Parts: sequence; C-alpha cells; structure tokens
Amino acid sequence: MLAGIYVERDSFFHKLDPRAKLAWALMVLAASMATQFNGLKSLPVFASVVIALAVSGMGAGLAALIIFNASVFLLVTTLVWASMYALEGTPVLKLGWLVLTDVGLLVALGKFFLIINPVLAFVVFFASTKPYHVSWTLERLGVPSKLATAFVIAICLLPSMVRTARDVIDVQRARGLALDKGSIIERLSKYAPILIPLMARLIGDVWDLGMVLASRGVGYAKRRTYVFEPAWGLRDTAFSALTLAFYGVIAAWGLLL
Amino acid sequence: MGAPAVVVERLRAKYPPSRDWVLKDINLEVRRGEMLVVMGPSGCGKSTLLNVIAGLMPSVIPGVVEGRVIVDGVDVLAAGHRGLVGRVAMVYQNPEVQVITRSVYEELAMAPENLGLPKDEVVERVEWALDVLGLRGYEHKDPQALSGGEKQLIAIASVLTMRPKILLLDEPTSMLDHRGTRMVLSAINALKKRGELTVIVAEHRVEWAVEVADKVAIMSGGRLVLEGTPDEVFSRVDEIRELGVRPPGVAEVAYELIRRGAKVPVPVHLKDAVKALGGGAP
Repeated sequence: MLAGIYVERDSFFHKLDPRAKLAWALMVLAASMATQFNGLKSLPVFASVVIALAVSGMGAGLAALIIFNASVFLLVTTLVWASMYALEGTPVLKLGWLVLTDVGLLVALGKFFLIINPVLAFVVFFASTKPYHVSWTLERLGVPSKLATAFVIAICLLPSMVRTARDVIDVQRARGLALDKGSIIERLSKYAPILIPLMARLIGDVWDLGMVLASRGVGYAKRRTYVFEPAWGLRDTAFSALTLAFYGVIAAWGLLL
Repeated sequence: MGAPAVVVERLRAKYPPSRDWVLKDINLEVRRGEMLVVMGPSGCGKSTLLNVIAGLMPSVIPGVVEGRVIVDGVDVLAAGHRGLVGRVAMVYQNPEVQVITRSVYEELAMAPENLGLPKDEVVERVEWALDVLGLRGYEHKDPQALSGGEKQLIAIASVLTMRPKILLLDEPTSMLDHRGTRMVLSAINALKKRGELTVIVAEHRVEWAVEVADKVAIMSGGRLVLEGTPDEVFSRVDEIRELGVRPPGVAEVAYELIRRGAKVPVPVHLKDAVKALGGGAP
C-alpha cells in the first residue's frame, strides 16, 4: 500500500546513502535559488538533474514527460516574468502589448528551473530511496519517529490515491459516464459522481491503514529500530564532495557574477 | 486449557451519536491457548467486540464502552490500546491494506521495529515468524505481487512478530478465494497446535468453526446468544439457522434425515458423519 514512487533498480543512485542523495537534492534547490534570475546559469543544474534521472535508472524519458507536463507552467512563467521585466534589457519579441526582452526571458527561464530542478531532484530521491530509508533518514536528521512515519505515509499515499482515482473513473465510465462530452460546465458537473465515491474510498482506505498502523505499534517507541541501516561509504563521500563543488561553483556564479 | 486470557463482563458499546448499543451485555471468557470463533450475521457486533478486546475502542475508535474487559490481566478500558501493544494483535479482512512495505522481511520487521526492540531481537522474531508460518523463501519478495492468501499470511506473520499472547482475526478470509482460505486456515491450525496463542476469530465461514475452533459463539443483534463447543452449537441446526448462521453441510444433511424420520446423530465434522453412517476409514 505504501510503495510510493520508489522504483526497484540497481543503479548508482540506488546504491548511495539516502543522506548523500538528500544533500544532493537540497544542493540542487540551493543552486536553483541562487541562479533563479538567469536561466542560462540554471541550465547546468537542469542538465545535472536530467543526467541524474538517467543514472538513477528512471530514464531521461521520465524527465521528458515531467518537462512536457510542465510546459504550461513554462508558458505562464514566461508571460508573467517576461512582462514584469519588459523595461529591462533588449527587446527580442513584440506581441501587441507584450514585450519580451532578453533579461525577461532569462528571468522567466530561471524561475522555471527554480521549480522544475528541485522537483526532478526529489523525484530522483524518492524513486531511488525506499520509503523505509526515507523514514530512517528523517529520523537520523532528528525528526521524531511518529512525524517521520507520517511524512513517509503522506508521500507514499499520493500514487495510491492516483490509482484509486483511476479505478473510480474507470468504474463510472463503464456505467456510462461520458466525461468528454458537453460544455465545460456540464463536464465539470460530471466529476461529482467521481469525487464523491473517490473521497469515500480514500477515507475508508486511510481509516483501514490507520488501524493497521496502530496494530503494528507505530509511534509506540520514541525511536524506531531499523534492521536495514545504510552505511556511509567512500562512494557517498566522493559523490557529496563532487556535487558540493559543482553546485557551489554554480551558486557562486549565480549570486556573485 | 489454562487460566482465562480474556474476560468480558456486562460489556456494552455504542458509536455516538447513535443511541443504540451495538454490543449489549456481553459476557465471555476465553482461556489461554483456546480458540474461539465468533459467528453471526453482518452488523451483529463481531468486529466491534474485537475492537474493544484489542483496546482500539474507545481509545482509537471513538465510542462509548461500558462494562469490564480484562485481557492478559490488563484492564483494557483503563489501559487503552497502548497498554495492550505487544500483548494483543489484530489482523483485518482486507489483505490489500495490510501489506505496507516493499519486502516481506521489512513487513515482518515493522512491528518489532516500532516497539523499539534491539536489532538482534527484531531479526530473531522475524526468523521465528518466517518458520512458524512457512514463509521461508518469501523474505525478499514484494508483498504487492503476492496472492490474497499469501498477503493475509504475511499480515498475520507481521503481527506475530510482536509475540502477542492473544491474536484477533477480523474476518481474515472473507476476501480470499478457496485456496487463500485453505492457506490461512492451515497456518492458524499450525499456530493453534503450538498451544502458545489464544485466538479469537470473527468469521462467516463455517469451516473455521468446524476445523479449528475449540469454542463457537454466535451473536445476534449485539447479544451473545449461543456459546459452546462446535458440536454443542451446530447440533442446534434450527436455532442457528434462525440466527442467520449456516450450519456445516454434514449437520444440515443429518438434520434433514432426522426430519424425515431417520435416527442419526447430528455430526459437525465430516469424519463423524462417515462414522455415523457406518463408513470406515478411506
């Protein structure tokens, strides 16, 4: 039930200590924040997370899918940020009232990467780290056991919720619900027979899960024991040193130059 | 059988805002090592009874509970669920929501890990549960990929690692096919033969009562209306039919024969029926 987005692979990222991966994801976030006003400077960070997706065994296809799905967001950031910076830099394109300048486009791209880079980095982290080890990592960082378990459950329940929603939609379609016909208002109103059983099922599932977790003693001890504890090795040290140097240089480039 | 493991006296329970009592004046005693199967139609209060014995109601599930419930010497209504952790374990009907992790070993280790036990002891308990339930070879399998019966076995093994003295099973085979039911039944039979565990099962399936129960209790409308050995209870065919419980097939056949004038006893087990009809060993 709590498989989450973890994907079983034998990749480089799967072999890393979860703390090294978490530190890497946080460094991606920091570098993306430091370079958010210049998309060109964010580009190496973006390239690094796409490579990480490929190295983690998820494949660059997943990255392409996420980026494709985020293309609407890219369009919105371009319109919003480019129009805010319309008076700065050299105009590149004029579309009626909208003036796109080189500075505006760089900022828009930087803001897009500010969101997409950490999202991809955390996709790599969660897809290559078992929920068990996510919980372990959080506890090692001082998060109380109960809170760490609750966080992992919340993260892991998301894909389960999507599956449940898909099941409910399929069932209602089999009963003749046509979601792709009618005006927008009509289509929206057709989601009621999906949302109501979906909520009922999710509440039922979460309640059952709560009972199961209670019967397994979740939250009983102050600190949970972990039989399978990752061991920090040379690979983790080398990876962390390399990423710190790489993202450190990019962050400095973004902040200082 | 030993001293009482579960004592229930004048138990009443209800779910507010409803004013109706779901359990009405229940009195029950289950001895150590004994297996009780609670039967009755849907909504008769079987699951509520198990939730009260497990300490889940009212401490986790909101409700009003009156009376006295002593489980393994602990006053459940005073101690609540936390006071019973490690003493009582509960398995639910839906195997899908009971497998939580990505490997059988992790699944079995989860409960003792949550108790904060030393690593060596967690490993020792997992190894023990794997042996007891015949799950060797499953350690590294993904529980999500297993059959319903296998998942339910893993759910049982996952709570056994808490080394409970009392195991509560809430309709553990109601969502399983025949093969899955057989798997769970034989596992419970194996556990029962070890004699260490007191087991209370709420079940519709009559196989449970016939094959593994020491005692059967029939509930109706929140009351415990019949209690005794499987032979005592199921020989009252008319009465249990009226209460919405299907008697074992052999008892039904014998009862029909009696109605037509034949002079035969009412057997509950197939082997007794064969004997009564003058048959020998196969």
